[in-house]
Amino acid sequence: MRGWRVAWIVVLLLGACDDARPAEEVRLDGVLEGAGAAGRFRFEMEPDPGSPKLGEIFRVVTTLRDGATSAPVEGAEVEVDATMPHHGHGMMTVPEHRELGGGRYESRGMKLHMHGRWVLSATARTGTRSDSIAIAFEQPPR
Amino acid sequence: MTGTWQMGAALIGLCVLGCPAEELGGPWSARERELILSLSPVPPPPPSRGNPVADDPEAAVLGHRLFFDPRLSSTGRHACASCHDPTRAFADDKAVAEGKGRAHRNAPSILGAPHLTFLGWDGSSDSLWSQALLPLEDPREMGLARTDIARRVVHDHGPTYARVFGAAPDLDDLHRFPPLASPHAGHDAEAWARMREEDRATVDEVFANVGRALEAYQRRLDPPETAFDRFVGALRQGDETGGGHLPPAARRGLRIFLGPGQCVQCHHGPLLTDGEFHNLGLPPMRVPDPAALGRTAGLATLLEQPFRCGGSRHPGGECAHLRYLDPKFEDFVGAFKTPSLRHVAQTGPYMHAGHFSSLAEVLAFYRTRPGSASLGHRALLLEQIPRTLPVAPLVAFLESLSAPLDDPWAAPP
Repeated sequence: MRGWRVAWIVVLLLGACDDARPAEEVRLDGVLEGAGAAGRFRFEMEPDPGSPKLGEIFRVVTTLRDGATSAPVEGAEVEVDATMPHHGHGMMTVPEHRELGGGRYESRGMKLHMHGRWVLSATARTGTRSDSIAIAFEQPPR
Repeated sequence: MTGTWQMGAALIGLCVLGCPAEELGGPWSARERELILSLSPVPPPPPSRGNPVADDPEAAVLGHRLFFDPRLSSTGRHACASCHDPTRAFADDKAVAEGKGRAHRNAPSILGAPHLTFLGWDGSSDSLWSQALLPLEDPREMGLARTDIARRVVHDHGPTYARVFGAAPDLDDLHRFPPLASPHAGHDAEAWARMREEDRATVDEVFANVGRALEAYQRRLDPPETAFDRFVGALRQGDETGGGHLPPAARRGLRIFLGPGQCVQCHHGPLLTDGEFHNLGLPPMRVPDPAALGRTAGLATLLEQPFRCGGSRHPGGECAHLRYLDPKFEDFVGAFKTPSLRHVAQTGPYMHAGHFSSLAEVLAFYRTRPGSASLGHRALLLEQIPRTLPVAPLVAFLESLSAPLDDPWAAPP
């Protein structure tokens, strides 16, 4: 069910990013996951702390999996970002990214400074493959 | 059916954007309720960054005395309380602060300041104690040299200082501690540079302790409970009327604040500020403003501060609030900090340089948005504010965010 929801959001974002209006409200209070736009990778993005507060620095740990086999993908470059397309801006911070091992990647220095609709995005590159994902979510006023 | 729905939606849209506020009635939606509950009460301030005496009662007593002490100014007439007047919610009634000279910035209320990560309109300080040091040396404000400040505090407040920070250093040797020495522009920077490093460090420690005591005092100043807080408290208990604590006009204003007015996008949380920086595209002031770059300039200043987190006089700590900050963030150009709206009816003139004298003028600006930003670009969010924004209900709501200060810490010692 959740996978269907994420896929639907991604389709909306890719087709008409500014007009995306998910029927269900998605919140960044656990793993946001889905297949990349090209289907090469699968992304599982988990915030830490699990439910980031407005204005507080947090990190995202992304587990990158092969789109066909679901096996963890090591040795990739993974970058995570967050933007508010309706406001025309992103974060006021520049996250730092590093590989943790076992297909896990860390992005430190994330910060959501406004409540409302955000888009969490990730890109992944290996020597031969690249893929990306964008998931809209609602940041509550807390 | 589809046509009926579309017509209804269009009518609702027209109403939200253009109807008189009286028509924005009805029960609070789930979204509105969540937003309202997030605005109150004000929690205790978070732990201080780099101030071990922040919650020491004796340090607060010292800070209380320093806050009201005009001897901490070169004129002998200006105390912190001159611009942060307790009878005006710790702000003043001037467009910009006036001390020894005329500053470039409006004096904001200090109520709620212990909650903020970045202090000052441009965020040039990252702790309340380090921010408190800036007006003391600023030639336009209190205008004292650093060695003078340290010597006056040791001389005038020695016993209390010693109880908080240990024995005060002997600063009587005028060769080692020249009277007007300070690294700050406008003072004798050459004399400061000639001092031995250990003597500079001695003075800096007393100077920093002045800021720490002032922070300890300001942390005692709790924003008082307002009519809005009582309204939220009743709503939280299940009373949809909010206990009658807000008049109808203020409730309509609250609904506009949360909805079409877009105010809550930046004025959120219990202090009604995001603590961040935005470019409103305000009209230029008649006087030159060399710091109009706002957050861009403030961040550059902050990173040079020895008393900032990770600075030469404040080592240690991860300083995550600075480590990941993007100094080239485009929207920082011409951006100034979102002020808290608590007590806002008592703290005019408004904006970083006192652009507007009344709340009605502020709201008229948001509604009409004349001109464009002279530096950078106006935040896109402002374009979503309807040009039919009803002003009177919003003013009524904003007035519900004030309450008389009945706090012994607000009186002179």
